[in-house]
Amino acid sequence: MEARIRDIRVRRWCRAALAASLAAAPLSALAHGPIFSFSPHTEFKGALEYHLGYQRTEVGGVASNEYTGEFKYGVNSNWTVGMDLPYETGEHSGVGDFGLKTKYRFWRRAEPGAMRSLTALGAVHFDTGAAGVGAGSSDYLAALAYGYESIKWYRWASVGYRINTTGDAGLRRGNRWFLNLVGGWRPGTPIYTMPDTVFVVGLNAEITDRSRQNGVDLPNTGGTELFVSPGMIWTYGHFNLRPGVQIPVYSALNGRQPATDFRFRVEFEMHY
Amino acid sequence: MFRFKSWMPLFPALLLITALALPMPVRADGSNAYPMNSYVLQVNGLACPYCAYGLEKQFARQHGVIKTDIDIVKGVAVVHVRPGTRFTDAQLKGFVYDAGFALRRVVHRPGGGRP
Repeated sequence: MEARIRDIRVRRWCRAALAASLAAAPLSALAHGPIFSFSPHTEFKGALEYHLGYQRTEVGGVASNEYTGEFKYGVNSNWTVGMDLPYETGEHSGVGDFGLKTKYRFWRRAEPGAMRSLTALGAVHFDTGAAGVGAGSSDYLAALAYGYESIKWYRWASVGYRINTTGDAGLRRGNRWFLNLVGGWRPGTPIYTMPDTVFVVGLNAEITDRSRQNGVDLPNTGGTELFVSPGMIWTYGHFNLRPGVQIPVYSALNGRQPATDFRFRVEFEMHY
Repeated sequence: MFRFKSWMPLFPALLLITALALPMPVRADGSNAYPMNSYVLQVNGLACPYCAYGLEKQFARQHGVIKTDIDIVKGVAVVHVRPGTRFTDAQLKGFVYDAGFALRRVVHRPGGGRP
């Protein structure tokens, strides 16, 4: 009897961890840029940036809300470090996994009215979250992001890979690839002292390996999802607001598992 | 899959934000006369106001700088300084680099001296 109860608890825990994994979008972009993918932009030297984010995710009709607070620091104009702490409400509520992240812009070409840059990103999220909210294991992420930002047009491309480690109950969530292409357009002329708007639309692919438990592949896990993600970047001085929605357009998930219905995200940033 | 109804309440907020964010008309300046006590810099890489703030901030940290005006479209930063404040080209280049941009050239120096 006790063994059965324990088994049921383990299964529930695993379901919650997998749901958290499904809901997890790419780590926040670190400084302004595309909403649902990695940004090559780094902070200026000595910059302090505060970031508040909200994301609503619906998977198979089940909603979850995530609130994230982030702090970033510009070590120099090419190197930014940061930390974040999410709080989630929904089927499970509580504080999520604490994360540390860094990005280094190793190539930049500044032209009149335009900037091209290539940046490497790394992040680790520690297994500090509440049961059912945190991933249940420490996760590592590495990404490469390219960006062209000009007065009229923006384009970004990035690729990322998240490695998940084995957590409690022997569950190892599948590793995930993130592939992103994003374009942006500024309808007006940017004036430093005036509000500025850029409309963006992205194509985001997430390819997830099957999860494993005690060395055995779980059939109803992993797969591929493709999203279209329209949004906007609104800036006023050193404030930045970025709302966007991620809409699934293709889904090939393994076995029987609910697909993502949508993700809505809004991020507010200020640096000084 | 995607259910329109579930995020429809967010539409008014998005519309409001868009309306607030529409750019204002450009203020015509037309003047080529630079203030006496200023550095006028041509800066490469200026593309958005949020990034440009770093340039203002870098110069604000320097002793003797009063304020910095930035024209993103022209790629020009006008750094107003107190009389007697002097920066070398290397310093100016460093400030601009630390802000995340590249100094193209110094157009004007305090006192009207050209490079």
